[in-house]
Amino acid sequence: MTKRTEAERHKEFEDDALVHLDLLYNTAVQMTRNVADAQDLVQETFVKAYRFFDKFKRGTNCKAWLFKIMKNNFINTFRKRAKEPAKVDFEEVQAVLEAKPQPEPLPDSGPDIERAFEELVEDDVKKALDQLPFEFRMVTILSDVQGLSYQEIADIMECPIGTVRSRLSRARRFLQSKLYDFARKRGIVKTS
Amino acid sequence: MPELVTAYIDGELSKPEAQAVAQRIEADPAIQRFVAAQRATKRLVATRTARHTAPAALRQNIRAMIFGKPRAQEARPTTKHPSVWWLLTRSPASASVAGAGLLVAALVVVLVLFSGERITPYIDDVYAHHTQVDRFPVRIEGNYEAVAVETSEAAGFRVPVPRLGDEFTLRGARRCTLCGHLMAFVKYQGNKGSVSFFVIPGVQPSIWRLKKQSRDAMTFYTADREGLQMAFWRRGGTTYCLAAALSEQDVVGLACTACEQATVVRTAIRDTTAAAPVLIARQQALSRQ
Repeated sequence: MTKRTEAERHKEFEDDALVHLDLLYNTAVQMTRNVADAQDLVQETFVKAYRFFDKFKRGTNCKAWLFKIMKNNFINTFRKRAKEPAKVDFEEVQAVLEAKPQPEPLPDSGPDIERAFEELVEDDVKKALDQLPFEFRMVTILSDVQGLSYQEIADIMECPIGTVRSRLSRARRFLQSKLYDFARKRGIVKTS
Repeated sequence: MPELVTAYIDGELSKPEAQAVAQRIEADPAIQRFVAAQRATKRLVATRTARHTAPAALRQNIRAMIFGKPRAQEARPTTKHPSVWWLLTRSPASASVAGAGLLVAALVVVLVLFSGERITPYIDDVYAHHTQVDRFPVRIEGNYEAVAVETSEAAGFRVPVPRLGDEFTLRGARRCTLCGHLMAFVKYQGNKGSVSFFVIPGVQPSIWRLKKQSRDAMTFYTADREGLQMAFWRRGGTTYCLAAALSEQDVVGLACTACEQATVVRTAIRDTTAAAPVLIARQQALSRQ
């Protein structure tokens, strides 16, 4: 096998990996909730990716590979600094999802909730997303914001597709409940 | 059923599965409402989540780190030396005497981001600047009285701060690595005697005993752990302070909000919150009689 020259390696990395910079950065901001941390995270991710680029099989999903590196970097480095341990977060979510009679009372017709949600702003969504534990927030961001498939998400999160589906389903119900609460408090939705 | 609906909405079911779910949805108004709500939630998250594009400087820096290309130019002002006269005119002992005039101090805890790649150039700057400072009579001392303290709303951010009426003393000086403004260290007059204190965001408040260290003609103070220290500097009648990370081996770096080149983002210290809270204590000018 012909050994790649350094220039060839650089070009391949530019073509295969660096093209995903914006996507990774956008996700990193959602993960870290902090622009400078996101820049650090992305920087570390690409440096590590380049270091192990020879192990990456060209033609396979580079995007998912990069996301996996970034997720692990985040867990190993940044998440340690987070205030809330994941365990506590999950319990909080469990309490919301399972202690109350689910689902939250919703309006009689579908269009009402859609209309209500249209009135909500970015901050509302951010606040609701921020309340999700890390794993649930990740699958939501990767699916609903970045448009990745369940298989891609499963590769990144290193879990079965069934787990992705389950987490996404629970996360959306949690978000729906929270967002509906925001709409109700704002008077966008009238309660009977 | 909810998980099947989620997968159905996302187009992740096989054709037979999708058909079966579609039939169930059609037959049940309650499921139809559930589907509508789920779709609305997904659409809201997709459309109402801010999109961020990587800054050009980030791209360039990544290339520089990987490919060895030139880094993005970081905006750094030329070094100024504005405050030497201030340093020289202050008498060490007189600051405690009221007649010195206006004493103003604003306490700003700045959480500064320094990546490994950016640390090295700053260390030389700090040492060089401090060597210059050492040539001056640097025993700057003065008592500053906190008259007002404001804090940010960052949840759980608790720090030991001077209370109203507390005094703290400037003990040393360094220069901002970016703008060259002089900075001064503080010794805080606590209730149980004088100690130097640090602010460590995200950690329970306590007063850390300082360890004085000298290195390459530079004297600085470190905590017993974490290595976080506080420095003060003055500009335009207002004194600012900065929290900087200091390890056993290196000065991680300093930056100065006075020259507006620092980015307030997070601390380099571990076990602190990623939310980067900022504590601001504003102190009004005192006019001593």
